[in-house]
Amino acid sequence: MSSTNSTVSCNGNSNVDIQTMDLGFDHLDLDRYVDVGNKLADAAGEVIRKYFRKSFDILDKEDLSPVTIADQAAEESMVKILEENFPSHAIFGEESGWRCKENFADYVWVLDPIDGTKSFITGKPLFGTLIALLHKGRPILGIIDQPVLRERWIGISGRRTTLNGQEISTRSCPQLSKAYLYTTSPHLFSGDAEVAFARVRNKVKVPLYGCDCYAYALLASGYVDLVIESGLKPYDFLSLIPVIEGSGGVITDWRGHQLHWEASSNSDVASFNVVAAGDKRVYQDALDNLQWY
Amino acid sequence: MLSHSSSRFHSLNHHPRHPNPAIYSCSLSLPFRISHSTLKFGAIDFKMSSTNSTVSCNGNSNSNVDIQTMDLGFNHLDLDRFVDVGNKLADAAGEVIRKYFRKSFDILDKEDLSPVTIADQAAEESMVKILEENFPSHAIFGEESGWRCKENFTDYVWVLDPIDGTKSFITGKPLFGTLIALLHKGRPILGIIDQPVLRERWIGISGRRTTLNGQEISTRSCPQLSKAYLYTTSPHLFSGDAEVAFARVKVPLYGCDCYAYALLASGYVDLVIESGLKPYDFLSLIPVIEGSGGVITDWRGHQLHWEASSNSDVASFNVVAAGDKRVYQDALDNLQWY
Repeated sequence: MSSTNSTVSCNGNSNVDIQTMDLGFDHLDLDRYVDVGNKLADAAGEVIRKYFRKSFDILDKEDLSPVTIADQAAEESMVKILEENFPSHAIFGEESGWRCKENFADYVWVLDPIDGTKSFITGKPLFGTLIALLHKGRPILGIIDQPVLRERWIGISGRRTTLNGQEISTRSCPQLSKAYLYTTSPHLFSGDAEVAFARVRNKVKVPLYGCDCYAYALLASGYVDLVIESGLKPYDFLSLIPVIEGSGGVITDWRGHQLHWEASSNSDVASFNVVAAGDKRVYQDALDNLQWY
Repeated sequence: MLSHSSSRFHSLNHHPRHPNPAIYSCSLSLPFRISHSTLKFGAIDFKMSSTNSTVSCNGNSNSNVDIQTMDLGFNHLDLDRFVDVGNKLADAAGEVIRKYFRKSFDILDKEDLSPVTIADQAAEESMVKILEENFPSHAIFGEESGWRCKENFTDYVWVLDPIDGTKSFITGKPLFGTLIALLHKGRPILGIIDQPVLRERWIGISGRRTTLNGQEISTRSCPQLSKAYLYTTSPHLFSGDAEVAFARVKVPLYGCDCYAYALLASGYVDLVIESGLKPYDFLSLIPVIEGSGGVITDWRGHQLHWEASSNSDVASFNVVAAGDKRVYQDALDNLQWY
């Protein structure tokens, strides 16, 4: 009963009815969201390609992370499209923060125009544009886009994840000793998190570094088994959830709890510890070794 | 399950790749066919080193070319032919590698526990075959197949690493590289870094400007460490004293293998510092980096040198590369590797 749309779609397909009643939106809505999601990634990509490997000013933010005119321009291009298409939706952008007519909204688009700004700045084509759509706090659409390589992973609630239109799947991996693990940098772990991470890292087959969100995309595609990171912001993991779950993988915090962040005008941008795996067995093995209670 | 996205990769450089244009400082009236069997290895006297150099000296008023020919024992025609074949090697390895990238294949663990794949082996074989056809008297040192030569020593040695960054290759990450170096009397005169999925090729040639897909490139200025972007592949490649020394420098970015050196030559990265590198992993980088205005040495500031032969041990080296001499000196001062 949450929207008029759900009344219309109840007439046809019974599976859709259940989903519609539960979630308050239907497939037509979802396809429109995916469509606009693609437009967002296209627009951000255009901007980013203009700046990639060109000179530009790098500003240091308060937390000393670098941001560039490319980040800001790419985010603006996406915000513009959303304001035209879904004026009642809220937007939470990494650069521009919360934008909405209300203080709360059922639909929130969460945007990170360049995840892996340091890779972008150094001309390394493995950063990503991250786009998530939340419905009542739950990510129903996630996009990871690499605009230089022109690779786009799209995860949608209830559907199989695709890479450039092809369905993909994670791969099997029975245990840590067989696992290829990625993390962006050992320097992003501190204190207890560093110790916990080391317990897993010491047991995996091969620990690798330096991929940002691209590592999660590789995991969804079945080339990587495990990604473990600490201190991730919501705009950096929300889009990953539908991508990874839709390809058969699992992604939670280090306690095995679902990652959840309620976006609003009052939101603190908390940090989260994230573990993603292609196979439930290596996922459990990782949790058992993280011992994050 | 496996996507065909590899066919969607675009060259990052919108200009079509073309062979490094021949840069002749002299004009030769006739193409002269090089007969390799007449080249005398080890000859320092330029009159004897090849019939070609005699021809080129006649037409050329540029004394720089003469000096270079006298010093080095080869001439521009030779070098262009080497570059030409170097491009063929990279093309051949790239064909093989693209066939295997993001496909399933068996991964074998070598004695030192580093993974090697059928792609490594097949790519190297494809290059060896081309070299045996084109330069049968040259020696070859391949990471997978070792030393190959009719003699025990020779003036020309091709040093090959078909996939530098095998772990990146195995995990579907398109930043590994094919590395090709040609040594003349132990000195790298040609270096190629090739990324076959992104179709990016860096070519460094003795006495010439380095190019990326045919465009000349240059390192960028960087006055000191605090302003530098530093890359290294993995924290696990440093041990003991090397680990302590490296920690004195600054927090690096990770995960690029040879691609980091290529980014440095292109002016997007300021410093690359690594430990435990094998000769087949750094020799090709030298002409690429020096030809773009950068510097690359060991941690003591000494030239990196490895004499390849049938008896060579494959020693490990600590390498530092920089785009600007100032940040290079700052790095050495912090490494304090005496």
